[in-house]
Amino acid sequence: MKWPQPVGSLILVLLVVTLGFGTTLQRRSHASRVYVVMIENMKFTPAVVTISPGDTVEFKNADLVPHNVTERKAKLFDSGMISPNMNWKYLAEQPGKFGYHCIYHPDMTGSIIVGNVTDPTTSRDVGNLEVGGEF
Amino acid sequence: MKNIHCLAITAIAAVSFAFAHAQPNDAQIAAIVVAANQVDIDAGHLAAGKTSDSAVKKFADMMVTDHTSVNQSAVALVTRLKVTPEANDTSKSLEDGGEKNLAHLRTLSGVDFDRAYVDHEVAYHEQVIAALDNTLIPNAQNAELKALLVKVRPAFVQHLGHAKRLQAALK
Repeated sequence: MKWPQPVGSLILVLLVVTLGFGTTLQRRSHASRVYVVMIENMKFTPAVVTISPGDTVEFKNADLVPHNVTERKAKLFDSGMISPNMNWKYLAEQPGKFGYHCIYHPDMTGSIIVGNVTDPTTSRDVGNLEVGGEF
Repeated sequence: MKNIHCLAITAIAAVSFAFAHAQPNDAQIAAIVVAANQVDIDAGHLAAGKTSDSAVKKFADMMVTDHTSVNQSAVALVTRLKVTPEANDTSKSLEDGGEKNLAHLRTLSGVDFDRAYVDHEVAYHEQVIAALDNTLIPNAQNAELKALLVKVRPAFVQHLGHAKRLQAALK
C-alpha cells in the first residue's frame, strides 16, 4: 500500500515525535518529586534523603546565619551561600550517594542517595543545579 | 602566655558580672544583642587580617559573616517592633571588654595572637550562651524577640565547639 506523500510525511513526523517522547518517558519512569531538607538549628533535617533520578531536593535555610551545601569529596555540587530565608534546589539525574556539608559550619553534614546505586564511586554526573530563591 | 590568658579572662569576667546582675527589658536586651555581636565582628575582622593560620582565618571569617547576619536580623526585628535599643551597663561592659580585647590583640603576633584570639572566642561564646540561658531569654517579654534569642543559640553553640577545637589544635 502506498500512502500519498503528505500523509506519509505526517506519519513519519508522528513516529519520530512518539519515539522521542517514549525515550523521555523511559528515562523519567516515575513522576518527579520535590524533597525538602530544612536547614535549621545548625542541622540538615532530614540528614539523609533517598530519592530517584529526576527528583529535586530543595534546601530551605531557616537559620539566622548563612549556610551552604557542598558535595564533600570533589565539590561535585556547590550551592554557594544560602542566606537566611532563602532556598536552593538540586535536581539529581544520575544514581549515586553524595555526602555533603556546609563549608562554613563543617559539623553540618548530610547525604543524598539517588536510587539504583550500583557503583557510587563511578557516578559523577551531578544533575542540574537550579538557582535558589526566597521561600 | 599566662598574662595573655589572664587579660582575656579578666575582660570576660567583667562582662560576666554585668550579665549576672542584670534584669534587662526588651530595649536593653536589643542593645546587648547588638553589642555582643558587634564585639565579635570587630575581633573577627582584626583576626582575619592579622593571622597567618588558615584555620584561624576561616573561623574569623565565619564569625564576621554569622554575627553580621544575626545583627541584621536583630536590627530588622526591633525596627519592626519599634523598639529602640537602650544602652545599659551590660551592653557598655561588652563594648568596653571588646575594646580592651582588640587593644590587647593588636600588641600580639604569630601564634601568640592566634592563641589569644581563640582563647577569647572560647570564653566569649561560653559567656554569651550562659547569658542567653540565664538572663536574655528569661527576661525577654516580646515573643518574637524571645524567639530570635532562642533561634540564635544553636549557632553560638556551634561556634563554641569550633573555637574549642581550634584552641586544642593551637596548643
